[in-house]
Amino acid sequence: MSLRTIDLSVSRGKSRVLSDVSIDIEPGHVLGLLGANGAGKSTLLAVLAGELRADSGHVELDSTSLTHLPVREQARRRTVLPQKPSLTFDLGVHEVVAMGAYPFPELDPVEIDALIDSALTLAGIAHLAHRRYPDLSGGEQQRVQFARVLAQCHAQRDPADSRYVLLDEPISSLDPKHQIELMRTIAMLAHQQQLGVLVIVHDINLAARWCDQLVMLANGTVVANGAPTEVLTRENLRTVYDIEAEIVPHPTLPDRILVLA
Amino acid sequence: MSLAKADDRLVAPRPRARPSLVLIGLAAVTLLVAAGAALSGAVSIPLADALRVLFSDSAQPNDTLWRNVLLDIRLPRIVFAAVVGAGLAICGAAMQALFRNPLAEPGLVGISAGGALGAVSAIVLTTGGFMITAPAAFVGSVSATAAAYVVGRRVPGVAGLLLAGIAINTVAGSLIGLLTYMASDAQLRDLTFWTMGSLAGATWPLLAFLTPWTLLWSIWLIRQWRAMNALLLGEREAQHLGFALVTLRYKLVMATALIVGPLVAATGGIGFVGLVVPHLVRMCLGADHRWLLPASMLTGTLALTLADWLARVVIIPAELPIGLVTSLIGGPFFLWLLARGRRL
Repeated sequence: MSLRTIDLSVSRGKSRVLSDVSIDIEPGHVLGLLGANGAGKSTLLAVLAGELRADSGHVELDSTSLTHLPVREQARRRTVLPQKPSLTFDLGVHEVVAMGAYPFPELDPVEIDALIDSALTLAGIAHLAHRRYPDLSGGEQQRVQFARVLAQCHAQRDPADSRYVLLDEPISSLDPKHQIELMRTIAMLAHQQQLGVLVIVHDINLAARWCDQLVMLANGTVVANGAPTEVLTRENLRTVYDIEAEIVPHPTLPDRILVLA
Repeated sequence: MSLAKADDRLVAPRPRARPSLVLIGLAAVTLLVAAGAALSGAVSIPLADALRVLFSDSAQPNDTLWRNVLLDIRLPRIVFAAVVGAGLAICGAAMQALFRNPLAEPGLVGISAGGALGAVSAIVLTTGGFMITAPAAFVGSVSATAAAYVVGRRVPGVAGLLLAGIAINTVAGSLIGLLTYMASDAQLRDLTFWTMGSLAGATWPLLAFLTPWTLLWSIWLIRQWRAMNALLLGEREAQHLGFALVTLRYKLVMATALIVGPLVAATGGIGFVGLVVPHLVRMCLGADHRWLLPASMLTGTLALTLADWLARVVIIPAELPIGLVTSLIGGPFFLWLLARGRRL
């Protein structure tokens, strides 16, 4: 059971964006995807999201090739939070979050309402439920989209099916408090409800604190893949980001580290 | 965040009307307007007499005239206006979702012009008649929609769409001009009348086809409200929510062309209904397609019934082409929308 890529390669025009990338998103784990701008993170997420076809290699959702799964079936098992949601039409927050239930026509309105309420609460935006989406600030809109994603993965009731969540920079427009809250929510849900999560983050320390596994991409190839303590080394940080950094143990959490750049 | 919090208090949530009540209200007003339109005009008929001639076989002096006016002229025309208004408005709303652009409209994007080109070709190059012009208009509409979609998506935002629309309207217009030049005198008269947009062609046999046809496809469109909401979120997002994008686009384009094609063939171009009506509805109900689509249909019905009534009564006994009326109201409204600039 996993959402994984095997020797994935993708080209755009003449340039190779990803080459031979193999990663494994497992239920119950948060996988953080790190890399400089243009390293291929969003392309990798797009392939996992079924938007882009790979030139070679496979993408498998629980051992079934993604190309053999209908779009609806994919949506029932894998949810995606894109980097820049571009909704400009006048919809209510409630209506936006309700879209998470669209792939699940078997749910009745009462179940959907309960789903929306719990998603809004988890995302910490219950107070925005009756607002109009375009009136919200960028950060609030991002949290509404996060609530929609939560609703979509909670709508899946079949315990036999695993569920995967792909998040493309979900905290980019959030203030520090909400960044931490969102990362904590993601980690909690992954561990408690066996969600397989892939999250693209730029903040190395947030990744080091909340992810179970990190993958570092540089120029479309995997530079490192493993636990944060293994991946976040001075050498890897130099290769991937071209920065000189000190790695120190986290003062209160034994398995965690801090990166001081 | 403290700033954003302050904003929370300043910007009160905008109230939204209860959708079901709005729908009922719209239906009621539409019925009133339809009744008004049936009773007034060059020959005005008192309400009591209208009911008598419709529901009994009485033979008082004016009854035959009134019965003819009501049954053969006014009622078919009102039904026609209702069907055309509903069809154009729901297609406008659907196009706006498909293009993710609040300015998409069958007329503006060139779909109506494509349909017109098809219909004019049929009038000039064949024997004419609705059975030929309607499918020809449909083919024209589909081609124009496809062209608008391909060209309009190359340039992001409103600009690409409008540019595509300008190009398609120009091409279709010049070809229509060419065909007009080739037309005989009799065809010319048909054409001129037709391009101004008119509901005068209303007959019961025509309506017996157009009404169920438009209604059927409209119901199909309404049933796609989830997909259209998802499209507002974004094309990628719609796919993440389980809607196969290519199929969905194709179906929406086809349904729109299937509705607009025959309507254009039957009426000539009636502009701006598809643009203005969904806008008005969104201002009142928001953009949730579950309500936007049926409310647009009702509002379109109301708008066109009203416009046709105006067209008939402002210069009695003559009448204005209804296309002129909708453009006179819709054009300035469109300007106002552009000038207003925010949240289209």
